[in-house]
Amino acid sequence: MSDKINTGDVLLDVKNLNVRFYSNGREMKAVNGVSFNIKKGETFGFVGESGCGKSTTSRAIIRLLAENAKIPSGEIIYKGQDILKLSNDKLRKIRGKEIGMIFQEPMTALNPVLTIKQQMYEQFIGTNMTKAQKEEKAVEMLRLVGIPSPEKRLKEYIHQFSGGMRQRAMIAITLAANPNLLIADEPTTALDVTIQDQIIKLINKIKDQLGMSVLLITHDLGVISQMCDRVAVMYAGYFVETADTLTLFSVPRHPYTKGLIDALPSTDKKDLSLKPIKGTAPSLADLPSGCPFAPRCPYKEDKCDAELPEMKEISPGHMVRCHFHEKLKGAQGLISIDEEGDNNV
Amino acid sequence: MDVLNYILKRVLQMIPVFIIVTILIFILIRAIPGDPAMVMLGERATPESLAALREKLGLNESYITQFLLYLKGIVTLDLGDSIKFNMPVVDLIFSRVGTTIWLTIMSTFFTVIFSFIPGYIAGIKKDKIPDQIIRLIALIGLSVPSFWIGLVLLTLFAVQIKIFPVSGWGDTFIEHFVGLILPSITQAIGVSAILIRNLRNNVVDIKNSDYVDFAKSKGISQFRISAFHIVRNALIPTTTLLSLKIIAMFGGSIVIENVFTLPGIGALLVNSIYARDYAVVQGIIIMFVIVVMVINLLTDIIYSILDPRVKLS
Amino acid sequence: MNKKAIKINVSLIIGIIIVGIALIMALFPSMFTNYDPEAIDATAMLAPPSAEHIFGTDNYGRDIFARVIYSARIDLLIGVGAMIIPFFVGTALGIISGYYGGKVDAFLMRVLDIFMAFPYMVLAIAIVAITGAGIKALFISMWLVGWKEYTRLVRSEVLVVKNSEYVEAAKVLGYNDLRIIVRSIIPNVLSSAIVYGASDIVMCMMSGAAMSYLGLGVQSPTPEWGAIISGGKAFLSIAWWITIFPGIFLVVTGLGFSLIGDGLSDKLRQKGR
Repeated sequence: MSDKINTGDVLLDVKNLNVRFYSNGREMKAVNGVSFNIKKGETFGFVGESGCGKSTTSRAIIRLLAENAKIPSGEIIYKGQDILKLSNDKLRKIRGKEIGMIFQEPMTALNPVLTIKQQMYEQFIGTNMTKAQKEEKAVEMLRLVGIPSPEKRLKEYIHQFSGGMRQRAMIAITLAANPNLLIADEPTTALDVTIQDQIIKLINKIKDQLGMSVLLITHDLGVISQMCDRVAVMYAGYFVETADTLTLFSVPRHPYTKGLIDALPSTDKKDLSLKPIKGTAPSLADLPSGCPFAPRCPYKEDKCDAELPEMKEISPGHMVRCHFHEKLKGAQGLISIDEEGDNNV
Repeated sequence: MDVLNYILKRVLQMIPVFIIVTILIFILIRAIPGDPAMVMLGERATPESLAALREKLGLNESYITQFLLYLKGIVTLDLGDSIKFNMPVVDLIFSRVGTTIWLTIMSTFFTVIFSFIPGYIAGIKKDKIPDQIIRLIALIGLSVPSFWIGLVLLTLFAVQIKIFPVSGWGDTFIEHFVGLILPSITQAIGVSAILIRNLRNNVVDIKNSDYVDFAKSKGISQFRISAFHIVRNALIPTTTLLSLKIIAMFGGSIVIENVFTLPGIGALLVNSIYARDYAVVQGIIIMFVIVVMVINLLTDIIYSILDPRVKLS
Repeated sequence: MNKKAIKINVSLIIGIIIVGIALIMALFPSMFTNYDPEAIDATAMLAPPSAEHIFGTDNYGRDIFARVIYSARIDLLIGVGAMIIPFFVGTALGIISGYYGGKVDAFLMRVLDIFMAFPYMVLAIAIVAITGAGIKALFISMWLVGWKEYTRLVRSEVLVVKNSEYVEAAKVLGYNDLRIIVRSIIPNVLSSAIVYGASDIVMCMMSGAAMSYLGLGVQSPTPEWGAIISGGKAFLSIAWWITIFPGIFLVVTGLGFSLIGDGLSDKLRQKGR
């Protein structure tokens, strides 16, 4: 896994991204100095609690933010151009065709009064496809995502689909534009466990088939482990740890990551009780001046309240934002491996 | 086929309501104090003419017989004669209803003109200056009585600047059209205020909806997003409300036709009350009830056409 | 504080000020004018606005300003009086219909259907035909027409609240229906009825004035805005002031109640969030 990570071409490079929301005269620091890149054919994951800024970060990539949001600084370099500096017309050419997005809840993300066909055909605007080609492509997309009798279902509305089929339909619409990067915002959260599994497998399969990159947003480490090559853990608008998935699960170095992993129900562990992280995340309108996780951190020292730690690379590709990450050295992850990285689950 | 079945079902459901309503109207008209013949002809009527009218109205029969005759009349479209106009009520209504129908159609047209664009702008510009202005205007529009704004418009555009007729609607099609402009605008003001508020709130909800975000994420043009995702969806409840408000405008003709002296059904109703021409009053009320029921039914059908989620059942 | 909260207070405050002034006019009209609203003055017929008669006079030489001021009493009475009975009756029926459901609900909904079959003005006019024109006819017709909106509104709210956890809990605890309705249902459904009530006052005032305009409500010489406007219609081309001034008072008073309704509904929506 790790050799692939280091050699791939960078598709998207986000540098020092900041997003602020303004409401009722208050400033909310939703995303703070986030930097990451996504390589071709790679699945990159954001994980964190709801409200940690992971959705906002992903939406900022195609500038799909609420009216009261501002991006005071940062760069989002996609194929050599900064998306934040693009005109609206150029941005529209990136949206859909280059970077597609799927949402958590297809029932609300698809227009209830337009057919699947009408919504899929919007992806073909500006192409010189004939009517027959559009029809063919649309049917092919539904077939690709595993919707039976696609010719018939194309003419239906989203409310006529069942839960899992809805998510498939939305994926089909997004993929109809052949994006190079798919942003999947909690694509499985609203689904039953069995259907969740089907959708995960579907995205993985299509990703390999089409050679796409995927940016996955989830609060579920389980989903991360099934899909992602690399992961960023987000907390209060900050990246607190990034690493390849295996490293993150085996040698987590940020106390928050460790807490998330400990909170997972696992049959591997002898102790079957769940250990939730105590306390709640700070308000984005009123972040502490030091480490944002300090108030909940079991390893906290005075320095943590005083000074925001920098993102430090502690081993190739493994970055962590913690003054005392050394304390977690040797801590037990979900998967036990030795420091060389050989897997022995 | 579904729609036909549905219409049939609804019409069957309407029958009991309609029967009860006709019974109520029957009782209402008979509840008018005094001898109806005397009331109609006045204090100084001769005993002969009173007896003749009683005979004609069937007042000498028992209430049961009267009621059966009345029901038979409704079914056979024979609602008796107008005393004032000395002609069958049904013929009288048909000769007048055209004005009211045209008034309602033109009022609906102006309502659409006045409400759809401002409502959309207010929603898109929520809490910004255009929204504040449009909302204030709509709020004032809600508080303006139609008979007064009608008289104000008359004073301005018929009395001071003589663009429109002060009363009536002339004889030719063009005169009819010109004569209905001020009355229709008057009708449209109050209804537009209601629709603007409704449409604005729909647009506010929809422009922040997931499906508009999803449409944006597809990179389609702002125009397409507005037209096919925001406006189209926001207009569904507004159109439904408009078709219900058509009933109110049809009823509003009672006031408007008085203000602009139009020869429609509303003016006829008021004048028939003054003239105690109760056969006409009864006939018009029955007609209004039928119109209300038909428009309600049409509203449900339109709603189901506009919104595929709504099933007729 | 934040901008939004200030804006809400503005509509509510302006509304309350307007309605407050109207109320003072209704209670103490003689504070505003020395003229008798019904006093005929043959020497000053159809006089245009002047220092003596600031709103002019009508065809009987009656002072329009005095008539407009004295009208506030009867118009407010119509607005509030026509709204208050349907408010209580309609809300009560809505609670009963929604809470008990079943046959009671089905019956009430059929009655509602029947009343829905009449356009408002048509029913009002039918009643006037029976009782004869006058304020009594006005109230009876509005009471008969007004309740159904409250019933529909409250019923749909009750259906939501009824299935909420705290009502279920109250039932499990064995509280009787009356206690559940008073403690849990009414506080939750009343606010939307009150917001509707504010706009209903406007509608009642407008309809009352319209009926009086048609000569079916308040009768001259009693001062009432709609009736004054009606009296001015014949003199539109020579004495616009008879028609224009009472209308402005009607609009502004209506706007006052509308602003209160808007302010209240914004406040309640915020509270709900």
